[in-house]
Amino acid sequence: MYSQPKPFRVVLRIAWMELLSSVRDRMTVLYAIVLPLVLYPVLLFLAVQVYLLVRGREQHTEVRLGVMAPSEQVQQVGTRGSPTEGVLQALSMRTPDQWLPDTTPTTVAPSTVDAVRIVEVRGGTPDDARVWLSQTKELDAVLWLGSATAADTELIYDSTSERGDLAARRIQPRLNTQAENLRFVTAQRNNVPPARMDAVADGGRRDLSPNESKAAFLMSFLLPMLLVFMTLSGAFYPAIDVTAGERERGTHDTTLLLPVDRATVLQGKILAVAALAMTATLLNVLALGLSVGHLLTMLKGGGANIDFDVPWTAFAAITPLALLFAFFVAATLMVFASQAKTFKEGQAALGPLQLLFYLPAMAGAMPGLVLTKTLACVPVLNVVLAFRDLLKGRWAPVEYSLVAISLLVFALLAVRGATWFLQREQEGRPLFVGFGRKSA
Amino acid sequence: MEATTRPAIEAIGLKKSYHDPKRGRVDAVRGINLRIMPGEIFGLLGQNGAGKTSTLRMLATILPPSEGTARIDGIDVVQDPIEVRRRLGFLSGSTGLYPRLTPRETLQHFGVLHGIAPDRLAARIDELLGVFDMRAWADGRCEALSTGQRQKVSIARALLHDPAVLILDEPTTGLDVLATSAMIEFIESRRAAGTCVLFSTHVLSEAERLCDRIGIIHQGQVLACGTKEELRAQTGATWLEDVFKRIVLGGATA
Repeated sequence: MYSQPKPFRVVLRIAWMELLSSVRDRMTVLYAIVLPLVLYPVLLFLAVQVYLLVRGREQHTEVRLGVMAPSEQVQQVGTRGSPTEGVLQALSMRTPDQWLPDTTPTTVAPSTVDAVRIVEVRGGTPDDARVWLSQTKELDAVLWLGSATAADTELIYDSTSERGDLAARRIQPRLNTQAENLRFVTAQRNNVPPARMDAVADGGRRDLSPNESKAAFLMSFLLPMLLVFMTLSGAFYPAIDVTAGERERGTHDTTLLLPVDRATVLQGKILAVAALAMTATLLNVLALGLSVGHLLTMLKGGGANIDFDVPWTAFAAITPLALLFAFFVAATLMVFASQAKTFKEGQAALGPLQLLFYLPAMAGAMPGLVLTKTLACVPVLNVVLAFRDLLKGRWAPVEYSLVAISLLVFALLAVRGATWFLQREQEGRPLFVGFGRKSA
Repeated sequence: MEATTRPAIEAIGLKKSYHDPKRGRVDAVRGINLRIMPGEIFGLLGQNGAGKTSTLRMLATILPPSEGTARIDGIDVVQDPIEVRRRLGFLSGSTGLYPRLTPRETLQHFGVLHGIAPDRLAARIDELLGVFDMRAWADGRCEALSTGQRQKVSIARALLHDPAVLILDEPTTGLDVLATSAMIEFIESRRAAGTCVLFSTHVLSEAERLCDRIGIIHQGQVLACGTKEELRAQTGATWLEDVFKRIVLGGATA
């Protein structure tokens, strides 16, 4: 007779066997390793390609603009230095020194890229301008020039029309530029620093947050939710595979014949599923970090004002909680998956269960929700809020410890629950007889 | 002295009831008594649904009995199921191989969990690979093996820890002629090794050839139990098929 192995060694041995078996399964590798790794790079690549395609199409779409002004202003069209002509010139994106004296209203588009074609300049009232746009299919927007100052303009367009929306997005910045130019000229005329006039015009707004804080703020909404989603995604397939999948493959009885405590076998399986869930989460965060890093590099190369570093401290601090959370998720999923007889039944059982994780994860992104001692004891929500706080640089040791204790307690309860279900089943009293098994 | 007089398998009033959602309470096994000695080959004969598999699964600690008790090598299946499993080799159609492991890994896994020391385990695995001629495909995945090859791995898995008792549930079902022949030879070889073998079958020729004693089970009860000669004498029939029919149709109780 041989010596009985220690329970911890049994747990590790079972976990090792399940992991070995799992990494040889194409679906598990796909969900726990490949998908987390390639999801974000592929999504980013596709997003960039789609953006370039859409942007390219937009750039080569000519916007058709009608200009309406009081009749006396219409007379100024073609007169160099007149406000009306200034606005029309601004639409061509040329600087004032490039304005040509012989520019006519119909030739304001400098090239076929981002072109604005002024179809006609008419005299009329603002009401006439609205009627003109609604009755003329050939127009995408109408610019009302209300007075002799370029600031007194109104762009009339239909935001539900793609071309109208494009016209607004293309014309508005040019009008803003023209307003800036006029402010600059006026400031010079009055011997006033242009910046002072800007401050008056803009109402004196000033954002004190550094760029890295803004990025961390955005990350604090995204990453905690991803932690939950990816842990679930990583645990979902293996949890079914090592329980219902085992029944389907006809190896359930083989496992029951192992000369060890069955609760220990279950714990080994939970360990394996938790390890795969953690792997999926870590790979996902890594892929996300690399993808975002690449995107930031591209944007910086394009002149964007971005200054953001990966918050490694927050990642390090969340790791113990993420581990406990992975155990909790693995044990919870296995409670239900172990009641299923086939893989399909397992999927059907775990599908709705995922919502119980998704909802608090999304609730964690609600503005104003902060980690309190009470919320630190709410599973799922607690890990989301703790991660959010850590990403924002907020360190609350009491709440953080409570989250850790709470996750540990819930993880142990889930393991205990899974063991209880297993024992019931082995005693011939499965909880869900409807899943196709008999009870004593 | 005790080792020679103590039965390798003993069942006393073993019962198993299920609740079936459609049929209500089902009494699969209705009080079975068995006493099988070390080195004995005992065949449990019965029709499909007679209660053979439930009985064997209770003895193997896969199912808990509803009533009654059973001992394997003197160990109670309810009181100490882990120790029972350490002394038992069990093989059935439901004990499949882990498809993504290799035969060598499968044996390694079971050996470690049986607490066999690493050097001894390596030697034992090597020995079994040789005995069952498995070396050529011992490192390929089980899912890629033929039915006969899988059966060999299963047998090796059941024998790895050199159990005192072997329980085989319809061991030749689904096997081709050669694999069936190999299985029968294997069971015969266990007699020489002094292992107690309990196997269920509905193939009478297997029972005729292999069994020291036969138990005929019907509707969850053992109707007759004895050597072939005893059963023939009890029924007055010559052929085992007739013996079986007379006992089952006549409802004689052992």
